Amino acid sequence: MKISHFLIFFFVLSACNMSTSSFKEGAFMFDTHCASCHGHEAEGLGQWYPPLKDTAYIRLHRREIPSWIRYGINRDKGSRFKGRFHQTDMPENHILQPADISNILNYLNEKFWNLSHFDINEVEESLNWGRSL
Amino acid sequence: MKRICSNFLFSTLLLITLNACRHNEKLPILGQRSWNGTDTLYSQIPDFTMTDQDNQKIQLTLLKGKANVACFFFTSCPTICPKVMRNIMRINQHFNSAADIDYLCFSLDFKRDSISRLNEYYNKVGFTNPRIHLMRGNDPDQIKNLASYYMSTAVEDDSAPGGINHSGWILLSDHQRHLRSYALGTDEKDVDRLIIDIEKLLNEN
Ligand code: HEC
Repeated sequence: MKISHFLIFFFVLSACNMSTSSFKEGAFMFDTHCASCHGHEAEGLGQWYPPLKDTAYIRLHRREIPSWIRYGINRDKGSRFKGRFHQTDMPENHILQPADISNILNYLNEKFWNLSHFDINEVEESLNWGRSL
Repeated sequence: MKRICSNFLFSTLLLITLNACRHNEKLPILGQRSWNGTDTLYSQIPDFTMTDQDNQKIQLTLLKGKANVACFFFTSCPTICPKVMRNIMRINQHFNSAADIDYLCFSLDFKRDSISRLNEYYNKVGFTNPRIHLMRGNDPDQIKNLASYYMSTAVEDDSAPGGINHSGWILLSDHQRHLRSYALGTDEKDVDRLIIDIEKLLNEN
């Protein structure tokens, strides 16, 4: 009885560790690659760098967002993504792998958006689409 | 490399001095000093005139503030500047516009940071304090040359994010153009300490 309790406890604990560890990974990656501009709490920098809390906009563009992250948002004529604010650019980022991108998005999602999970296949699909543009 | 090393040594030494003096009431005067037989002479930030985001001429010796807060940045900087700016905003919010502080943020990007772009940045970031000046040099080298007097470095470097490699200090000087304190502009805790130093400077008579 006691042992089974212990096992259940251990199981729950490890499961819950598993689910938070991807948020931790995402939090770390967000702080490293995004927070300088978008802010540690995704609060942005005034209207120069946008906050990342416009859930309606994120929901509308969720298929494009992984590609924005990889290929950047740029006012130049030849760029893939022009964005909506047009005062400064978001640089491309070829370091982040699909798993990293999905971790970052799920971390933000958990904290701010409350949308459905950003699955790695969904991220890869977006990146394939972005590459083909 | 040698220069970077000596800069680093210099900064470390300053940091140690600064720590040693932390408990004193008065902030130390930083930088090199010399002796003319009767007085100790402290190095001063050389006077300059530049243009700010409102196309005003700003001359250092004409600024009346008791405290002067300086940093180096450029508007398209992807890495450290946004953090530095967030902390400049924090300092500004802490003291509000009535405090006797002038802020000078020097743009290192002569090519892209025109007056109108600096103006757009000022407004979009949400500054309202008229004593915050985003500075454009009169030529591409003026601000880079000034940087060394603020213990800062700036070199063009194509491999660096945004094309310019520079240090993210926020620096505090007094109305006699002596450096009195500084903090790593990307580090909130260090900036909190600087805020205390600014208070000390404002309370000096
Ligand atoms: C150099 C600064 C910078 C960095 C670093 C950066 N971004 Fe951005 N980001 C921007 C700018 C500028 C925009 C707005 C572009 C536009 O719409 O004109 C933006 C827009 C966005 C948007 C769209 C927001 C909206 O409401 O329109 C998302 C989502 C986003 N970034 C996510 C990220 C993520 C995730 C990272 C880290 C992997 C990141 N960004 C890193 C500058 C940056």
